[in-house]
Amino acid sequence: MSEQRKPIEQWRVERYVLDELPADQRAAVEARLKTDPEAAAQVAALRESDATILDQYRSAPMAREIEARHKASPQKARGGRIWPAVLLPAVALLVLFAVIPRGEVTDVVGPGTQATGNEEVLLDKGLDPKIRVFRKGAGPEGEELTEGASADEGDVIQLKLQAAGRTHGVVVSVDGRGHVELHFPADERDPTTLKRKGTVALAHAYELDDAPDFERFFFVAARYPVAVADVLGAARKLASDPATAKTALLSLEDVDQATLTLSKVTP
Amino acid sequence: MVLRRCRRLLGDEQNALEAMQDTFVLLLRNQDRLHDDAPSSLLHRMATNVCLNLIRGRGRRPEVADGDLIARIAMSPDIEARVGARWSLSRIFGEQKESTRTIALLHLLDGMTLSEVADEVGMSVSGVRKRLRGLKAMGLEMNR
Repeated sequence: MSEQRKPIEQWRVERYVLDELPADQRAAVEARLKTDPEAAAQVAALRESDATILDQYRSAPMAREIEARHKASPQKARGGRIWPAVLLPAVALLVLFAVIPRGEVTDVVGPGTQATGNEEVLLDKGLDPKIRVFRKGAGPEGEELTEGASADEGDVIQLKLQAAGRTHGVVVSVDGRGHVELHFPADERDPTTLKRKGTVALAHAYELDDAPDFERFFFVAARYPVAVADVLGAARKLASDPATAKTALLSLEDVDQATLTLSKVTP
Repeated sequence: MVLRRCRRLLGDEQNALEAMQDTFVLLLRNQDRLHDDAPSSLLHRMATNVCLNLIRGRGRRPEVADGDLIARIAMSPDIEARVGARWSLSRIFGEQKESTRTIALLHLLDGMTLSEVADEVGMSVSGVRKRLRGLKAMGLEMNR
């Protein structure tokens, strides 16, 4: 039997389906799928298995089961075969899929760099979309600023996104002067696609100006293309109303929104 | 993917389900150590470890096609634990994270090349080869 006729290793098929193979290996698998019906059947069988498992074991009850196991677990190994456990609510979609909460983005571009429109954003299934704000200067990653944190004119801000399985997104900010700025995509006409793989957040940093009172960031995420103009329109409308600009969400339907507001130190 | 992995190694649905749950508990327990690269790779290894520990704990050969090989790997000594301070120091600095048993399974059951195993576990190819050689030297007969 030739090498070509050997079945593709199971782990390789799994990673192919999950889009986690390196580009060269993925290309090799795809080339083989075009000429080898048995290999194509392997992929089809795996997809079918996924569907069967999801049908057989619904993720939400499974998550509850895991939570129960966690609560029942002592802080030392149970029966000497497992480490101590801590469970997060986000477990539901983790159970059946090979998706884990991903960590930090790794490629932070310095101040002044222009956005390319091709920023890579993490896709974290099972979590809510989240926007994280870092003030550059303290360490390689900078200082993470949480909701309500103080910021000053001249602070250089790096935005990082947790897409949580959403495939499209728009990032805008409004400030205490009623100004709206688009952060992603780089241009209103650019696609809002969040790259499925990769560890790079927005490719540009953002220097705070002297706008007073606050700077509020919105990450609008969805599982379909988002109309940038609609987001900008909703942001402008919100920004024009000081009474709600710091608290209300954008008036948009069928999207998820994550926000973070910084308090401006200088007037 | 995790459930399929556990099924393949354990052969029993109930045990596979338990192992899958253990894998995710383990994953979340260690989430602060996780990184972005290839989450399925990490889950694959974690599930493998969990299953090997289960097999080792119950001392029974799994009812699967490769059950004998899997059982022998599960029951094998972990060369890492016996080689001494060098490995221990490496572990402390996070360079050697995988047990020899997991490495053996990736190579002998999953068909990964030494290079692929090395990439998988973050070791050098020579390091992987050394582990497997050490395992064989300790008497484990592992033929495909």
